[in-house]
Amino acid sequence: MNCPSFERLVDFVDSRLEEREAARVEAHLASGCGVCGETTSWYERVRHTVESDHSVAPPSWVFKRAVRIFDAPKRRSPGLTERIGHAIASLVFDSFARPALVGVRSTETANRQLLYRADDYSIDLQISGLEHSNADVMGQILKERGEGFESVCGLKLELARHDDVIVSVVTNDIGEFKLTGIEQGVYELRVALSEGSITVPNIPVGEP
Amino acid sequence: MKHIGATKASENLNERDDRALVVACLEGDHAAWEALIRRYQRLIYSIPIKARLSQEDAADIFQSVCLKLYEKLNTIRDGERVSSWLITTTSRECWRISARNRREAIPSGSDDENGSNFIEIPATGLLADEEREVLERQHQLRHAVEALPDRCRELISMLFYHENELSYVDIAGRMKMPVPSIGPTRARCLEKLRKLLAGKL
Repeated sequence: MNCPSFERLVDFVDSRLEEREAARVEAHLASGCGVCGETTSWYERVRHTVESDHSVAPPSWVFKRAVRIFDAPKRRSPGLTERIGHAIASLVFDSFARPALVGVRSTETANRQLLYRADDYSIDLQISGLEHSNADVMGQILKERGEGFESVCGLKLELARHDDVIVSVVTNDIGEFKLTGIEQGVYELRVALSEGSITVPNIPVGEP
Repeated sequence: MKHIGATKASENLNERDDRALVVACLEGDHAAWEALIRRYQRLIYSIPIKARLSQEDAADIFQSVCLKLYEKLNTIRDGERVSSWLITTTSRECWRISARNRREAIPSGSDDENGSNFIEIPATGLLADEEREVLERQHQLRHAVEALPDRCRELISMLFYHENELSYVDIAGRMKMPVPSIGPTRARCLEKLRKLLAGKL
């Protein structure tokens, strides 16, 4: 039997052929014709995709409201590139800078906490005490006005000293990162955002 | 009817790929933005609905995701990844809203427990690969149908996406064409659809 037409094959999948004709097409497919087999498989996938599609369109007001996002560029807050570009983060908290209370035994650990801020971003660093002149730096990047962690996951970070990149890492799903075995010294941390970058200067690892 | 339609003005935009639409949006083309949202409206809106969130939550998530898309337009360089980006962003938004609702003990909007049409969003906020693939295939097929010429789009939409299964007689009546023409026309339209999908399904 010659190959059935595309229409016949489609009708076969849709069970629109008379019994005798359907039997002929079935026999042809059973003979192993690759071209016709591929056509029927494709159409079966199409039918399956259609049948599993229970998607719904949003109400028209929801759609129109989203379209209007484009109408308000002037009201839109400036993009990160405009706000940040290449930003230098400022230190806003240093656990070692807190004065000790008179008469109170210290409960401080050897860990040092530093909190930096640049625009919407905050960078929280925990620097462990030195062990064999090395320390671990753990941190998390958060975005104040961000929803979820989408804007802080997968960011590339570089720890540098004297312009030499010592180590680079990528933040995890919630913006956390860990740098281990960092030698005592003063470093800078560079955070690459898709829209700009932040440099955290003068990070004292194992320094007073 | 699960409507698929396009006006004359949007025909050209329907034929453009995502990358071209994104570029046009960045150049300030409002119609391109509308076409982009129209193209993905079902994909975005259906994820919270399938995750059993309320229509109010789904509407908020839709707006939030579209806003994020607008803000990220200049970073979406690979137009082929728009659907993937939208699925990830929408499912994360769903997870966030679900977590908020759980904290506030607000019951979900749907009482329908007929499970198979629903999706579960795990604590990572990411859908399982299988769910993503199904959503992408459904989107690709609908997008290809939208890109068909007028008559084909109308016919295939009636055959595929009408709420009630229509007979050839019904379709012939609606399309004002003879019943015997339906089969051959359908076959020609499906061949065009296959070319448009170009192995994507």
